[in-house]
Amino acid sequence: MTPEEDEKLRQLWLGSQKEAPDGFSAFIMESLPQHQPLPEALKRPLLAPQVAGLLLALLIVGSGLTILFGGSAPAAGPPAGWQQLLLQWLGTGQQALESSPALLPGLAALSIGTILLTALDRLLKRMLLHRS
Amino acid sequence: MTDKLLIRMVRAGKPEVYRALVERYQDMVYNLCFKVLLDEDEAKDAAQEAFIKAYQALGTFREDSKFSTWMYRIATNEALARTRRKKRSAPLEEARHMASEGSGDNTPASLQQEERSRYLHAALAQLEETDRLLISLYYLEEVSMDEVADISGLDKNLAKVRMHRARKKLYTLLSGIVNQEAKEAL
Repeated sequence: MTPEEDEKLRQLWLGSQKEAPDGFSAFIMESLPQHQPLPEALKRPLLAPQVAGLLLALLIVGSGLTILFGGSAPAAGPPAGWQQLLLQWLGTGQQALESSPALLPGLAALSIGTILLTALDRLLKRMLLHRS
Repeated sequence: MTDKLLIRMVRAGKPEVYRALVERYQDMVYNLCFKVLLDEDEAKDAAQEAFIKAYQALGTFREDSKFSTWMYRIATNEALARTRRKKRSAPLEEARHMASEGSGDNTPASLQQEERSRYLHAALAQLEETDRLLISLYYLEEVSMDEVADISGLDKNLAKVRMHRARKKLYTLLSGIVNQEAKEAL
């Protein structure tokens, strides 16, 4: 394509440009939602679903293991290496709980508080986004 | 007043300031939509929808990017989505016919311009919508190749090559249409 051809096409193109219809901006302003756009920060969840899922999984696994072993070795046979490590870990945890009685209720309150706060945050943001 | 300042004002709770942004870009956005859709009513609807979507998403707009690029991308997505929907529901021939209709101003000067526009739109109708989009972006002079790639979703080099081919094809089609019209007039 030669520069002359290009120039002809440009002139033709620019000559065919149209103006937006009358009342275009007025119509848009009337059609806008009645509240201001939400800031990006408000749209982000408090906890990413992956992080929330991971924390929940850890909580479930931890609770399951605590209930399963209950701080003692399984009855059948000597404990395997991983079981010993786990018992040791549970024993340390138990000692920490015994030395500080307020720790367990505190942890429970923190976990429940986090879950409630995350759920409330998602609910409110979903409502706000739904309205926008 | 710069785009960024206007956007900050809208975000700060002055939605009426958005009108200034609409008025600044309405012609460009409308023309972009029209050249892709080749239908005045569809183009108007697409442009309106694009501005409303942009307003709703203004909270997600990153200030280190250009509002015009962001706006054109939203308009492009809207126009291309409508073209695809239209392709499924109605033949493109109808759109071609509508694009070739005049607007009613019959003074000699405007008639010549109308005729030229009719030829151009008839030729455009024979191109793919992505090619029509690329040519439109080419003539939006403040848009760089990086922005064209960003708006069209194509690789920069591919967009450049395709843009050149599309213009060449348009010129050939246009020459053919004008020659045909001249022959018929004789």
